[in-house]
Amino acid sequence: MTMNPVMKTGSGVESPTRGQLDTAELFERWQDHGDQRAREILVDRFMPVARKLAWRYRGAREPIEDLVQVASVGLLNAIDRFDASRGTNFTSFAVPTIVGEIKRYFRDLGWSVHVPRSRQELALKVEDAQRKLMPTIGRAPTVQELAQYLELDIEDVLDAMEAAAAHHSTSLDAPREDGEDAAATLADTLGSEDDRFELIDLGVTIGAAARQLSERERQVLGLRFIEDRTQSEIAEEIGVSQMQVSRILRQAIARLGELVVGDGAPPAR
Amino acid sequence: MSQQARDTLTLDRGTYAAVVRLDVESRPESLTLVRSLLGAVGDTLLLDPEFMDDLRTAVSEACNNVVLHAYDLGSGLLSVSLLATPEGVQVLVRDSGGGMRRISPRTDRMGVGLAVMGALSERMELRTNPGGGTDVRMWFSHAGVDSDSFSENQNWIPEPAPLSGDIIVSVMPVSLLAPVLARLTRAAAAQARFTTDGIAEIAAVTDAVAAYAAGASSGGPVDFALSTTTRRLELTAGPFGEVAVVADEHAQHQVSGPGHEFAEPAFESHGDRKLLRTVIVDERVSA
Repeated sequence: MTMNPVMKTGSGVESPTRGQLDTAELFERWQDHGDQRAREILVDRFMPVARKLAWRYRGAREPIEDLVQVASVGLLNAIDRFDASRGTNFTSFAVPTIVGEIKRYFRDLGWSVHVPRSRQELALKVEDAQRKLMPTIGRAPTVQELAQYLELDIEDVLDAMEAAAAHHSTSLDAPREDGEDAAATLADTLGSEDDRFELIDLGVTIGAAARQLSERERQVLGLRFIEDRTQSEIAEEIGVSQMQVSRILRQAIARLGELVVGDGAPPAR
Repeated sequence: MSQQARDTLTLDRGTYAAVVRLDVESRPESLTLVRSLLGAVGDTLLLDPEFMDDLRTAVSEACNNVVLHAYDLGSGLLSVSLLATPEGVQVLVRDSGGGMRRISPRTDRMGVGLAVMGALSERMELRTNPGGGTDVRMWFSHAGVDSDSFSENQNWIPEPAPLSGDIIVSVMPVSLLAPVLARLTRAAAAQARFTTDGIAEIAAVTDAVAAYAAGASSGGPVDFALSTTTRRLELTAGPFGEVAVVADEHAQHQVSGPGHEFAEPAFESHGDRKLLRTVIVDERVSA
């Protein structure tokens, strides 16, 4: 056993180095003495928990880095609020706090992130991809092929197919006609048109505000929401990484939100 | 989902009790099957999406622990049983592996899994069985329900269905069969690389089988088993007693389709009981 190396801090409290103090001691140093270094070590130590939760809640195309960010905010809150004197395990306290933060994030993003990924829209995308892939492959695609084409997992595609099945069975009392043409017409006339109406609606609402965005932001927004391209496709087209596209989209959407609210215009919904 | 299932289960929502058991091999792909089952139950009983979200996450975590840690080498049984009542949902995730010695809150990965399960469920219990294997029980109560009202009675846990296959399921009441069978068959067929056309036609077969089972059921659990190899799916349902074959004509009509080879559903006698068996092969994909 070697001695713990010790550092001096401005407050005069001895700071621990990583892995050598137990969690309770770290909490005491941070909460009672304001030792930032102890807090950092706690963050490092419990970051795997936050990261794991972030992975668990990742959306179909949500960049995982964003969720890890959100989860680490939850972790910081948990570290600051944890009452070590109550004798409970920190992980048990932190998990609901982090999960709560992640859920709030999804709720706050609301329409901007979840509308494009709703099951109903995914269902339309899957049907659309099915029609596009059919002539290329010369037969109906497998679920794996759809998943690959849409950059989703097979479970998301299955969910979308489920939503499509539910949609068809509730919107049509009569049995569906046989033949692929009938199915294609159905989706074209009902689904895709509906979808475009919503996009136009959204376009009108934010059109004025969009003029104040940078050209790059407008281009990315247009490709994503008007042309309905995937983030990876956009990345390739404008020559940046998919991560950057995601960041540009989020910033643009956040700014649009501010601009629309700032103008006193009614929200999109 | 058949409208019939929805009506039967929601009309008497005040008193319903739905029970499902799924036995599969503890492989990573099996999690998709477990979640498909939960989705079918949640959609049919019109359970709250946020409630289902927590349930799905916690049950996935419990199953993930079985897949990753229960069996030293390879895989073994993963059994998920679920009881849904107006108060909430009880879940039992069972394996027959090495037991709790591997579950230590101190090791990080397991610890997080347990914390997630504990946080998202109302209550959680872990138990090592004397004969080996671990039981994880979780209780999820609906908003406004006191979790103390949950029954401790474990009699609801169904016996394993007396069928053989990769995926073995027991369902009660019979009105839950159509959505559960449709969803699990779809997932299994997708994993077996069926085309979407093949999957759509399988739906006709599962509807016919569910309709038959509804006619033949005497009110107890209904069982089915699925086995798949690439682009081939075998479905066995039953055993059924001696009941007039109500849906048989319908079934044979439904299962003929272009591009596919269907073995007509055939009945096999096992004493005075009968199994309904059908094989579906998707021939659209050439090797």
